Order: sequence, then structure tokens, then C-alpha cells
Amino acid sequence: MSAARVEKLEALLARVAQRAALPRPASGLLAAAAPAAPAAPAAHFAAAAAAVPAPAIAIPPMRPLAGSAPELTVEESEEYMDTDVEVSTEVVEVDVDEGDEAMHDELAAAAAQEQAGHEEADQQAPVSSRRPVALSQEEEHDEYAENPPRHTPPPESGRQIAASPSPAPPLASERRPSAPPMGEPQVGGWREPGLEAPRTPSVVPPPAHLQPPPRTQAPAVPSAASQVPAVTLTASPGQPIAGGPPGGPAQVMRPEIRPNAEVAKIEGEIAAAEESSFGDILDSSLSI
Amino acid sequence: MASPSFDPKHAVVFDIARGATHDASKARLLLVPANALSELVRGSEDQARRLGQAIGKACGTRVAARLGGGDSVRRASIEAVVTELAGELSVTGVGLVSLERWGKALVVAVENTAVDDDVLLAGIVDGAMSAAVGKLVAGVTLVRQGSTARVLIASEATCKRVKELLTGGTAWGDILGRLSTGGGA
Repeated sequence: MSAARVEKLEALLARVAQRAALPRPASGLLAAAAPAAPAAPAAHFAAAAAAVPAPAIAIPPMRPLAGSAPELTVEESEEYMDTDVEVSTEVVEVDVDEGDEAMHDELAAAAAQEQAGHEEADQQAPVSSRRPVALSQEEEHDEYAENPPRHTPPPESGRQIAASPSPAPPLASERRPSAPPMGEPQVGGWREPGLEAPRTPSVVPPPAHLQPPPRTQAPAVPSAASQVPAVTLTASPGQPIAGGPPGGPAQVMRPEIRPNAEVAKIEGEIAAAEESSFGDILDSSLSI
Repeated sequence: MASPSFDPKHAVVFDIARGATHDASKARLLLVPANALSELVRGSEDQARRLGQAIGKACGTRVAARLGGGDSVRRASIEAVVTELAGELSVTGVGLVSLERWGKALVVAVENTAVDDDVLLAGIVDGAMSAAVGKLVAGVTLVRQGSTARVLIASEATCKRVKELLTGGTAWGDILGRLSTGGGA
């Protein structure tokens, strides 16, 4: 509801309340319970009719007066909901002058306008509805173009039912891999079956507690042996291997062993045989 | 120093016209089947030993003759003596001879031997050794493993004790162990 309409209704309501406040002879139908209607804003008025059950927050839309007591219309809006609304069960005596044609026309116009607004609101689709209540002509045309009606030939015609063209499946490159199953570790990645392997491998670092400790240099131990190591490693390009992977020979680590390294120390020696001639050997055996 | 080699030239001469076979020193030879000798010495160790020593003596004499006498053989290297001794026994058909030293013990190994009798074989070996060095030695067959026999060269007393141990069931390895440690057999 626009602000202009609200102001219009408030003005109308003020006029009605003003007329009702004038001294009139008591009527059998209306009892003067409220001495005077509150002025604007409308949120503070004691809106009630004799036939309206308490609380009178929701009042049906205003309709043209037809010789009965004028009905008041209160629109629910966030503005009003935010304010404190005084609800009263007191009956307000409203005196309507049926002979006032100007006011009647004005009320009729306002009611018609209000009715149009309510009809427009009634056309809105409920939240739970899947489809719109009504489609415009353009939307209907688009809907027809996308899903034309299928006419099934009668069985006696002998014709086969044409299969509707199904949308082409998306390309593998357009498909997005699904998320890995819950609970699976992320190490090694997840690839949905049927999809190509990624061009560039993604490296997933291991958890922090599984990573090796940072390398630290061991303290150098000065010694004579360490100054001239017996075995040293040297890197040199190796010979290409037939049938090996492309890209040239791999780097080969070969130990460089010094031939004159004193690896073993032999203490003592075996006593050399003193017998050099056959006669001495024979005599040694005969001496047993 | 050149390694010694055995020259088998004219080691055996077959005089077919005269129906004679002799060695390089013109001594007559008689080709006898090996099994005939085994049958001959069967059941008589003394005969076997004497026959064997006779065969070996002929071989040892030729060795000594080649090397210049008994003293020369004693002064000669073991390789030279083994070469000549093995050559002579090979020509005779006893088998292929090699020397082994187990500690102090001198053992003659005879491979592919044609002699089945242990006493006969031991007589051939010690007879050849005695004739080569000019000194009496004794021998006893320790073991036969397939076609290879091992003969211990020692004194007469030692060979007698070893023979008793072998008869008592002592392994030849244990006997050589005892001899090597000086404990005696």
C-alpha cells in the first residue's frame, strides 16, 4: 500500500471519527462506548466494529457502504507491525451519514482500489508452489518452444513412437568432479571414475605430524680419518640405458673408493714353513 | 725358475718284434690286468704289501735316476719330486698322484686308481717313496672316497697305530687331527 493511500485512508478515518464524536440520539444498534476516536496515526485508533470479534487486527478489505456501518480496513505492514498496536474490544459507535454522496463515492473509489490491490496479491504464487500460477503469453510461448507437446500416434496406425531427443551429455571436461567421499583422507587426491587424470598432478602435502623433521647439519667431528675419507660419493652422468626412460641418462651416484685405504689391520703372521725340500717334509712326517 | 715337468719320452718301449716291453732303463715290464693283481693279493696283506712295494720301488728308482740319486731327491723341491713321482706312477697306470700336508703328516692322494686293494696301493706308494729318497718309509691307506684314495706316509710304528685306529672305527680326519697336534695316533 502506498503512502498516499494510507494518508487518504487516515484522513477518511479521521473524518469518520469526527462525525462519530458528534452528539446524536442513541441508537438501538450502536452504543456509545468510546467517547472520542483517537487521531492519527492509525495505529493508535481504537478500531473496532460492533460485529468484529476481538482482537480486531485483521479487518476485511473495505467495501462500498450499503446502508450499513462503514467497515474499516487496516493493512498489515512491517511499519505497523513494528509499532505498538493498542487493541481494544470497546465498541466504537460510528455514525454514517448515508446521504453524504461525496463521502460515499470516495469510499467506493478507495474500496475499489483496495480490492484491485487485494486481487493482485491473491494472484501471487504461494511459497510452496513449484510452478507459477499463471504464465504470461511470452512465457507460454517459450515453454511451448522448449517442450513441445508429444502426439502419440494411435496403436492402429502402426507407427512407432518417436523418441524425444535427449539432451547431449556434458563433456568430460565440462563435468565437475564430485567431492570425495566423507571420511576419506585427502592424501593422494580424489578422482571420480570415468574422468581423465589431471594433466598436472596436484601434490597434497602430508599432515604436519607426518612430515619429516627439518634437516639439520650434524656437528662435524674433527678426526684424521674424516679429513681423508676412504669412500666418497661422486655424482656423474651415467650411461644411457637401452629401453630406459627418455630424457637422457640418469645421474648416477658412485662411490669413490681409495685403493690404498687401510681398511684392515693384520696383527701377527703365520710362521713360514721351514722345510723347503722334499726330504725335510718327509722327515717331518716320519717324526710323528 | 721353470716349473718342473715330467718327460714321458720313451718311458715304455714295446719291442713287438721280440715280444718284450721294457722301461727306459731296459728293465722288463709285464702288462698285467689290474683285477688279476687284486685277485692275487686277496686275503694276504703281506703278499700285497710286498707286491706293492716291488711295483713302487721300480717307479721310485726311475725318479731317483731322473733327479740324480737319493740325496738329490731329498734336496729337491717338493714340486719337482711330486712331478717325477706322479709321472712314473701315471705311466705305470696306478693313478694320478698328488701330495697333501695335514699338519706334519704327509699324505699321498691317488686319484682314478686302478688298484682296489688298500694294502697293495699303500705298498706301491711307500715303495716308490722309499726307492726315491733311499730311506725306508711306511704307508697306510687312510680312506677311499670314490676313485680317490689317501695314503699316509709315516714311520712303521705310526702306520701300525693308525691302522689299528682305522680298524677300531676312528675317522681318518680325527686321526690326522691327532697327528697334527702332536698327540700321536
